[in-house]
Amino acid sequence: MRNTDELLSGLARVRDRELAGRASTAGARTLLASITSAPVSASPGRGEVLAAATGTEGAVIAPARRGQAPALPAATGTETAAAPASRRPWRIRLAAGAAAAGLLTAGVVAGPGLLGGGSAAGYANSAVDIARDGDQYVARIKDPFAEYRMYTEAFRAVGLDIDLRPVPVSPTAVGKILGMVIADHSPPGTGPKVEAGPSGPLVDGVALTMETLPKNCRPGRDAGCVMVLRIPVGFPGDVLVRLGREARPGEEYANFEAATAPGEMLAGVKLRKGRPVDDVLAQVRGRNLTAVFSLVKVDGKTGGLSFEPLPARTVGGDWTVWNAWQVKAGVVRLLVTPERLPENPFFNGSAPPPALS
Amino acid sequence: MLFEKVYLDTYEPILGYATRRCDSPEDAADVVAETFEIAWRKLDDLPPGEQARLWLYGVARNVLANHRRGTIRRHVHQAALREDVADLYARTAPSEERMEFAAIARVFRHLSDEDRELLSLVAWEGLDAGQIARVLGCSRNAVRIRLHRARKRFSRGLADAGVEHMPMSRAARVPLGRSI
Repeated sequence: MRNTDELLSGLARVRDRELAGRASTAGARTLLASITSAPVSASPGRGEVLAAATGTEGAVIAPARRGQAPALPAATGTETAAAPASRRPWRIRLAAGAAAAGLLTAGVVAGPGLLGGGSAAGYANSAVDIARDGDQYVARIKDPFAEYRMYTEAFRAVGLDIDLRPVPVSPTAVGKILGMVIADHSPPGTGPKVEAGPSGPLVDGVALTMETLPKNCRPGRDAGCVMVLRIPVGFPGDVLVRLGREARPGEEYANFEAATAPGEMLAGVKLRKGRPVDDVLAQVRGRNLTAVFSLVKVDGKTGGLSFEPLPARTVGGDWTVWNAWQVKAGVVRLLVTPERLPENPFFNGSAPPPALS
Repeated sequence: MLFEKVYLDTYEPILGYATRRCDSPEDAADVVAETFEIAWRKLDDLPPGEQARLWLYGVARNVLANHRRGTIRRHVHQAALREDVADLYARTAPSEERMEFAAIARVFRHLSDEDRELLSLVAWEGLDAGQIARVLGCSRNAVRIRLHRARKRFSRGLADAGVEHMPMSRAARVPLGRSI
């Protein structure tokens, strides 16, 4: 006679062991690729809250969790809102400007005599040169759009987990560094001490920075422009650097938050105080764009935002648009509520980061 | 990169989880896609190692609940994923052999969502009370008690339907302090 578990297991459409190898099917691979090419953004309700920054060039540095996170300077324009303390590993996001500020010229090569145990002196291939400079590795990225494995192999060779990823963007952002996400995955309490430094976070006192040389040039676009990353030797976490590349036809933009920035599809459209849907749609039509809609939902407890796609026909002309994203060439997404809210939920300090990119 | 490793390690169990709970391949593909998209967005909540799978079951469970409320995002652009999953459904269409399970399936469908999920996590995902507690975000003791009651209700249903069975598995008896 069989017990209930055995009876139930016979009801299963499929068992896990029959799925061996499914992770490498075309479907699984495509899904992974499409997910990881999307922007990492704070999601509603997770407790992580980044303050609203203005424009894509603004520095965004924010701790993943209050209570765990490194203290970062108010000068970055970032602040944390109430979030539950937790023992999660810390995580920092920063836009290019923050990392680039106040850096010395890179490129000093350390001799082997200075090397610590187990670390390589450096590594070079056609895409990147990595050399040790004291407590840091200095990576000079010569070809930002080289094959992905070129960087991976170079950083691996010196024991670092650095992911340099081209992501599809609108034409104005091609060649721009959209930002860096630094994550430490060491078990709670064992990771390095992280604090704010003048030019980027200090990991156990050693700076982790990124800049372009010459300053503010666009890698892969401007001749002679080199991206320079400085990573503390033995850094235990991983760093994701996102670099804008031209989107293919129909491909969705990773710099979706930039819709109203100069040069973008809705440049100059002011939504800070919210605007009626009809008003914004007039702009959209005038610019030969298509609009899609999402309903903004504000969590009563946490103030976190979530978004639900809405068919255009269900959206009233008198609804309020609080923000706009650019989906892909010619398409913008308007973030709306049926009622007018007392304040713009994207600008009250508890919204997800609008300017990660 | 961490996410890719977790994805490759957990894709199959999450695909299994969704496939066992969704009636159509489209729904299962949506649940898988949405679960991993959420994991990517909440990357710093994602625990390392074996815990990642349990955490993702919890995410998938919420996605599925939203799906039942009709609020899931459709991932129609994931054509390759949908094809893969459809193939899985075609391959495992109910067979003659499965017909004997019809009575059990009927009893099972009449249980509450909560009872079904608890019993499924044991029978399908092979989890123990401690692991289920991680998935559901409650205490191990609460899981044991709820599981015990769910098993009792399922047993009663099976008895009413005339299905011969042992009331519960050995694994469940021991922690409850009973002898076999």
